[in-house]
Amino acid sequence: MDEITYIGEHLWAQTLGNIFIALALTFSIISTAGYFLSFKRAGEEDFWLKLSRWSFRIHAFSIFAIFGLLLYMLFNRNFEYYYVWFHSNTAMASKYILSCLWEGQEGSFLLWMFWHAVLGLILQFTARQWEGPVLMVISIVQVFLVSMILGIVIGPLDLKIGSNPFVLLREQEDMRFMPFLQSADYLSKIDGRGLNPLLQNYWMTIHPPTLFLGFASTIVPFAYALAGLVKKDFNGWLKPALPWALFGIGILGAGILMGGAWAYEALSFGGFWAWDPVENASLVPWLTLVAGTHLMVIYRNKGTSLFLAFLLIILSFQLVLWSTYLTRSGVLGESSVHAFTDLGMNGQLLLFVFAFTWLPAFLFNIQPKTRRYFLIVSLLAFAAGIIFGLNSYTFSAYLLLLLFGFGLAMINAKIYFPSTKEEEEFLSREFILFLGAVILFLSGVFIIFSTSMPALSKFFEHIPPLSKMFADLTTPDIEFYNSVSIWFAYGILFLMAIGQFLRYRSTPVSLLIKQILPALLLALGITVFISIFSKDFLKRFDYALMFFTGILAVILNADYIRQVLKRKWKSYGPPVAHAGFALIMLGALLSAGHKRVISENNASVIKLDRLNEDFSNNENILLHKGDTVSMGDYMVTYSRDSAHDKNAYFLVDYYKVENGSWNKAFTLTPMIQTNPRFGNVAEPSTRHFWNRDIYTYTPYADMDKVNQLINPQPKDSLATDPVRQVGTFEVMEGDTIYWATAYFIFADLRSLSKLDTSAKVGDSTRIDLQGDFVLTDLKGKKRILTPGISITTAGIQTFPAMDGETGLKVEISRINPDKRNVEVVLYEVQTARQKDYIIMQAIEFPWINILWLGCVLMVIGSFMAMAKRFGENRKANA
Amino acid sequence: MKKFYIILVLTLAAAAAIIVYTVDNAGSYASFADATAKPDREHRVSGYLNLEKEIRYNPRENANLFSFFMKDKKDGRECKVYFNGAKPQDFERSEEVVITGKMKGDSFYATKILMKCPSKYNDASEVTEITANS
Repeated sequence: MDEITYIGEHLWAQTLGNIFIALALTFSIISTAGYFLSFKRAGEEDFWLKLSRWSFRIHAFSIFAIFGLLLYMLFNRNFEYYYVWFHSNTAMASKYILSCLWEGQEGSFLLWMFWHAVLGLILQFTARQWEGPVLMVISIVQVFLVSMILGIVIGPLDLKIGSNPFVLLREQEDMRFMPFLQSADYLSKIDGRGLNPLLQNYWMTIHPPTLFLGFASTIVPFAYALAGLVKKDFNGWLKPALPWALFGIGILGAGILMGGAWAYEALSFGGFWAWDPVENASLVPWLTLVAGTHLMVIYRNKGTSLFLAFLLIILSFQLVLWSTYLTRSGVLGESSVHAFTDLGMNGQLLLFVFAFTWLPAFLFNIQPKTRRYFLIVSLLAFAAGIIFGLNSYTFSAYLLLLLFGFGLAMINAKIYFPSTKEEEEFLSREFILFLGAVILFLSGVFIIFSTSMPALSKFFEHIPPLSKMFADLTTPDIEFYNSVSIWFAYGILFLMAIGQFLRYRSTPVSLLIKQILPALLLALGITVFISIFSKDFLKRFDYALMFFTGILAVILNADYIRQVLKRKWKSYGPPVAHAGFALIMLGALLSAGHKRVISENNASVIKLDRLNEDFSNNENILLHKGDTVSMGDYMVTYSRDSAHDKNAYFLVDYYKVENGSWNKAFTLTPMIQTNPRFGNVAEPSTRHFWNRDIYTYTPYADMDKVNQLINPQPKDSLATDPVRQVGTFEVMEGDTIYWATAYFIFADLRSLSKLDTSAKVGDSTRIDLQGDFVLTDLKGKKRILTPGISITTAGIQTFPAMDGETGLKVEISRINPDKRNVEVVLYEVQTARQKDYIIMQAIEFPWINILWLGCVLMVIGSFMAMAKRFGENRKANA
Repeated sequence: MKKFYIILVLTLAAAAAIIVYTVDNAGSYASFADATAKPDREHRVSGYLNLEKEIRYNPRENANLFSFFMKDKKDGRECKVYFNGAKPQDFERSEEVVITGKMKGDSFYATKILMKCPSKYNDASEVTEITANS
């Protein structure tokens, strides 16, 4: 086959991109080696330090350059590139270009590296004596991450390393034989596949960068912890790492909560949190990071729990990697909707996890002798892994290796991590903090274990007792998550409430009681009052108990500021963050636990509980256009539709009946977005009140009808139904048309042109007319039909009106100015009684604003605590 | 320090208990036959939609009931499935369906439907999940 010379391609971008990827990889390796040598060889320190510093800067610059280049290609819609073609198209607004960049796997890896590079650069200037080992850890992680976008295939082994964002469309595996790519000028004929319209909103612009900064931030305390092991300075790392851990709590927390807000506002999940594997995978590292940070605080104040602080801080970063594996390898497959698709990088991702679970296990073995043992066993395991490949057996062997490593380390831990002889008091701050960390850790174990079930089922496929235990298992359902998690919530909230009133070492019981008793009684009073006197709140004991612990935590944290901190506002961080967390829990309890489906269906023919006692007629309600039904405190009418671009909007009016008169309270416009490429999507519409939200969406609509709305077919709007023309009449105003099932009085004909805002400039010859026909059916019921006609220089367009009850359709087909009458065509639809309808859900979420308030407070509180610790460190260094 | 060890042991015990409890309550992939054998437990059955038989959703009659016939991926057995909710968009396009629920009599009552539709551009498939009324 002859080489084709393709027209219009920008191949320089590929060359440049690959150069930067190569530079990024090379210099992250040099930087790792250099930083390693800089503290191994103290004498030549300056040279190695300088070398590795500049290497990391070149690496960081290369990452920024790749990022910028990809952005440039997306902006220019260079569709010769697969990534650009796959994630963008010509029609989309440029403000969503950033979203395209991180929609794909390659781009999101890039975003992650971007933040690591930024954090690394900041640490170069602030980490002082910790710079070497900390930057070494970051550099080596970057080596692995850059390899994810390398995209080279090692020929004979058919081993694919990474997925390159600079692959040309016509080179891409799935695409290269596509016929449309075989002509020289293909580029002038193609358009991109585009960004899923679901993702074209501001959430997609702000949520991923925040979340990935959160993921990236867990590397800083992790790197400090490993640096502590490398330098054998087991406690010095805590001081500089603590503010970074607090930064991670704040920013990762913000990222996770933004995801929840996005799901609630724009996606039709019907709630804030759905225990989806992708949500869980980002929550668990946050839980362990919070636990680890509290253990660091214990050590800073009391000198205990050092070893566990190490473990949890390291675990947080490892869980970020494990989450990456779960969501990007395709292993979750059928249990998550939101996971990335499999790019065939399963093995590489697992290797990434292995590397950074192995490294800490190795470093924990501080004594040369045990380190040697562990290394030998590891090498044997590594050899076995190469020979047998990655399978159920080698994976299990790896877990055993890790256990062996940590076991060895634990035996010797006592030498390096001395424990106090002092007996701990139950009523001491350190004990409460410790207990809190344990509960957070256990909740993390529970969630990650449940989420990982499909992966574990696969990994233990051939290991006898486990294979039976895990056979065919997958993630549990939402109710199970809720029923277990509430136990953790009681514990955490209660400890958060009383924790700060306890002193280190021991606390006099009488003082404690004096300080917390009023709040305890107040919280109890509020809980009992609500559960007795409110109509439907806190009727379940578990909800009441959770509410009690939550409200107690809010009151006591506020009270802590009043009683203890007073005007020391720099120390407000912990109580503000704790109160925020408690408010999030309260908001979730009130809004999700007490959500009320108000779209109850009473009119259905089939009673579902007869079919199955778990089935109900709740939630989905059939709403005919023009009909009014009662929902909760409202009377609801589906009044109109409108269309904009690819979206069909259903206008649903909510009326409030007050003193016998109807007052329109508000209108909600749930919509259906039609998209042949990505599938049709229903998007909710929500009315916010200060104390509740009314959430409405349409899980089902007649797609013929929706398509007609979006793309009106002028002549016959009900093309799919057999329609029969039954008569043509010439009528003047006041005339009556008689038909078998009804009669019509032609009441009025009026011009709409004045009202028409869509008429184009220069389109002055357009006339829009609308007629009023008063229909009276056989039962004597009257309705008004309003067919329209539009006359332009180009021709006539008619807008017939149909009566759903009788199936009669009236069309004004011509205006006869000379005869001063109009020509009317009457049709009858064979399948009569076809009224427009939507299937709608309306849910009331009470007090959801408490949740949002909590989110804001928790993030602010974490950052206040971070600022305080940074400030302390700066003072100590000055 | 004694208390510390007590807590540590309790923690490990709690972790073990959580794991066992979770394994006991996790969803499991099953066939219609398995689901018939254990009607008390929730099962996940994956299979293929039978397009030749009736896929029934008549919102005028009942907006909360949707039924179809599905062939089990494991042994090819066919079963009628009821779902307490609206019919998912583009349901007929699905190449594979995963349903969660319980067996009762000859029919399967699903609380969740997950459908995989072929992607128009590459070999990957797009997954959508629909949850029934609560």
